Amino acid sequence: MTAEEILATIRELLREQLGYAGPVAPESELAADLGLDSVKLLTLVVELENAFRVALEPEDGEPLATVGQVVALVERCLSRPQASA
Amino acid sequence: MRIAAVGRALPKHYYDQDALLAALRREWEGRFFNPARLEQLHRNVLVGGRHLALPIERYPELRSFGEANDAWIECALELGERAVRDALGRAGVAPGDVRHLTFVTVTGLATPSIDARLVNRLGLRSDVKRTPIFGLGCVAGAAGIARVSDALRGFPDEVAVLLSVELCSLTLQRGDLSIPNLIASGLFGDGAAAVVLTGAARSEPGPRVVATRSVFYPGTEHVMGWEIGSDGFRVVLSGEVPNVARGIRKDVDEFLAAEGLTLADVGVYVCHPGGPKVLEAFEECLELPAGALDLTWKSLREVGNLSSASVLLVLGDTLEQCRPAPGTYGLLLAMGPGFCSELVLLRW
Repeated sequence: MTAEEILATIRELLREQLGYAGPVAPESELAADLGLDSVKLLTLVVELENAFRVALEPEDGEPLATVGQVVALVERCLSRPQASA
Repeated sequence: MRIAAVGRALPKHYYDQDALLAALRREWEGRFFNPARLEQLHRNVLVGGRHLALPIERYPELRSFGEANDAWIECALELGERAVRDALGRAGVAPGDVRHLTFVTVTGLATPSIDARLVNRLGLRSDVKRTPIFGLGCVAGAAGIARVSDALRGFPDEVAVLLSVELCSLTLQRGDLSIPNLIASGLFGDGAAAVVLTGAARSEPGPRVVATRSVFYPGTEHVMGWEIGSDGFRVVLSGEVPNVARGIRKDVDEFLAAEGLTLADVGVYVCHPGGPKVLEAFEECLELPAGALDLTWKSLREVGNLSSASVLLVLGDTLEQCRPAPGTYGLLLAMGPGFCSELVLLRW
């Protein structure tokens, strides 16, 4: 799974699940640019978990403020050995 | 106007949060890749258990909005009658003395309304003035006290009853896996509360309703509510709620200032236990002393958020357990869909 494919999925989920139709770039701020509050952010995370069949658990201090950081979280979690969730 | 008594009625079916979570996990098994999310959301709301209108095994039998609403009517009548009888008994008021009956809910529909059916069951007078109110949501307990107090201002020798029945479990959309619905499935419970209010010319003791205020926040319709469809009520809940709650400080300051008071003059707080983030927002923005919301937190922990009934349960606990000294001011407050808040100034 490439970063570009993950980004495309994020764009699709933002559009279809959260009604966000604006531009989405790696540097886009989740709150300021995309208007994601805590409920919407969790919706995105759960949809990504379902889409990629991976549990997304940020490590202590791992930032989650931009789209690029969400992509990095998905990549990191996909790359670790999978236990059954 | 005085608060003469608060009556309560909770369904006999009580389940701790683990039992409720286990049932929902079975229902939703395989629908999430990471089922730990449900558990995480249920733990975050800090609810220990909830009363349910029906035994838990009966919910899968409810196949439509109509079936759920039929169960709602049956349970609402039983709990409503119990809550009103409890309140009248505590106030020492006979059913025949009740001149106004206001009924609030946001979890079910009935015509004739629940208040009408209770006139028959309770033997209320045939000229009782009834006001059923649907749709105020969580704010309706506080708003109900305010509206009933307004009515009694015109009839100072009369008695009024405010009844709230909320059976949130019967609104749960089992096919809705949205985050707001998952949060709601962990937070909301069932129950009823009734308040006996008396006009200023009557002698029943109790804290006086000194003043009330409604505050509407323009442009916030999306923050909370229902989307109503063929399956019933689907919850709308935004992550903006705690932020909106934080804005209540200005409204409280203005409300108290109109009475020549400040927050320092308030000794008792009765808040709607909307959820942990809302209560933390209240504590922070109102700079409340430690323990000020103990009864509110306790109610959230023990029975969950009962929508409009919750603030009335906390009021009942406050009357019984706090017993504030005469002259003490109390602030009762709740927020709800609109978005809006209702503030009630009490004085013991």
